Amino acid sequence: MASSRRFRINRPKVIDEAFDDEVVIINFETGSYYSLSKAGADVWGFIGAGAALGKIVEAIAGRYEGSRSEIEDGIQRLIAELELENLIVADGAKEPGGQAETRAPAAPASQKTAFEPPHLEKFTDMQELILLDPIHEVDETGWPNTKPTSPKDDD
Amino acid sequence: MRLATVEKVPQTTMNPRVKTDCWPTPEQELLLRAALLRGPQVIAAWDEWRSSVHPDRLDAASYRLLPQLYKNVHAHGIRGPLVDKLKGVYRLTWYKNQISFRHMAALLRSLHDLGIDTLVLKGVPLVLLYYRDYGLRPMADFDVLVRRGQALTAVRFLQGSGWVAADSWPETLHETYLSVGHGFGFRDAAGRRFDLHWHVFPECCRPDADDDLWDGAVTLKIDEVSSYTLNSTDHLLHVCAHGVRWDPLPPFRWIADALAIINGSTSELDWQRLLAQTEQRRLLCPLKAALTYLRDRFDAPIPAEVLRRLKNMPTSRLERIEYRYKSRNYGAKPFGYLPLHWFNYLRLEPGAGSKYNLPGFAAYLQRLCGVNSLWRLAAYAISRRARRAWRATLEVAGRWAQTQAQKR
Repeated sequence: MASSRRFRINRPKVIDEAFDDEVVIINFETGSYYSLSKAGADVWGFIGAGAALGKIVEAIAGRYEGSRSEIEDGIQRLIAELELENLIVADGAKEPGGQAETRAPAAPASQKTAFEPPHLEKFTDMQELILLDPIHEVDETGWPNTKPTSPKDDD
Repeated sequence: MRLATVEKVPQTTMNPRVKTDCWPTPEQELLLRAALLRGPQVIAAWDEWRSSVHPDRLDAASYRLLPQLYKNVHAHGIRGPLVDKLKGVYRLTWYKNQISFRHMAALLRSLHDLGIDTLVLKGVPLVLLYYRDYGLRPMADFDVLVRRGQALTAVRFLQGSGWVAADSWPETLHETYLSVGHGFGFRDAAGRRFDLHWHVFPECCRPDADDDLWDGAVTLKIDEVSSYTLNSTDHLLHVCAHGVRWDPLPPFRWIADALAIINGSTSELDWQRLLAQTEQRRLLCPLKAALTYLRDRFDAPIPAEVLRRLKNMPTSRLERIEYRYKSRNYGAKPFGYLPLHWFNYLRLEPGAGSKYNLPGFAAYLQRLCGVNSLWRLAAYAISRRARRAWRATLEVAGRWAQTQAQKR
């Protein structure tokens, strides 16, 4: 792993917003909507702050309980996915833009939560999703997560 | 990318009950309190609203407050399955506004390329300057003011770009309409709405009516495109005058908008200007009612002196009649929308002499409808009545068929 690799959010084609513990992202070129939570939201925040890959891994390891290799793999997979979706691009800047962001104190071991490999949720059929009734046609987590189709509906 | 940006209200939440005035119902006021107040009052209002309103029976106007409700109750520590659903409404609003603001910016750029000045009204500046959060205020359309002398160029550009009339009236835009109307609603193939205005207030359509509003305008950047919007004081007047009038979709969101301006304005409101503009435009009745309501029900920081002066400013009998008519359900009244045109005519033609100047009013209506004789005006009115009756018949037949199908 090239721990000095750095990325930046692909602005202005991409916009993001933190909603509580979740980060939502729009790629304006495609209209696709993405969601990241837990460690994924943290990784996104570190990328936005200009942290190098090695520093991101270090910071996540300080916040979540898990083996170093598991954390590294999870973060690398997420970053590859974010690059593939054109949400981030490699940044050639040598100086770290926001290293201070990763210097937040690590959580005490007793307060660490278990690391789950971060998952980028992607929603592409936005024409259909924005026409959903956001109260009745969504699951308990709310729009854009649709209600699972019941076996009855499959008939 | 093409996305329909029409503000969609869940069909199941539509309330067929038509309100008879422009003020919120007790349930809607509870919702407003839960969405707008701070502290223990929020929790009390939320609890009471939850026990009195079932989310399945939420009216369409209340639906537009749900993102703000989510943000406020969440900030007050309220959690639960309904709050999670409300968060979804907030996310949806954020997404739709992000996408549609971009589209809007591109459209503004095209108008600027034609040398047309633009001043953005209502939702966009409210979101950008006062709510400062794309997720808080769902929007059904974009409202853009152009100078009256540039309106026809803007209309031709929109028509040439595939925009068509959005409303059932006026269904076509005649050049004569520009001299008596204040705006025209367009929609594109993706269902987006763009309301082009050449006057800010429907009540004030004299050629120079908006000069001082343009002079006092402030810059507004939308996705790197520079436009203008009303300053905070003029914006407050616009929101109140526009809000305190009956509408089939109860417009009580104006209360949230007005409070956002009063509480969120970075510059101090110029209360002197507000009074002067209100008096000049003869909008004292709606402003007095709006500010009094905001102070009494939501403790808005409106100086007592302003309310006292508003109370003491004289209003004409005609202004009072106009306010009473507009603030109640005129859709159900025998003359429906016609008196609105009558009031606007009297405002437009102060030299009309007697208020019973019917030939003058008929000429005004001809310009409004784009017809050049009384006979054509009569034919136009009859054809509209007939079409309305036909649509009503179809609706009744549809409902009857639906009931029969349900019975089976």
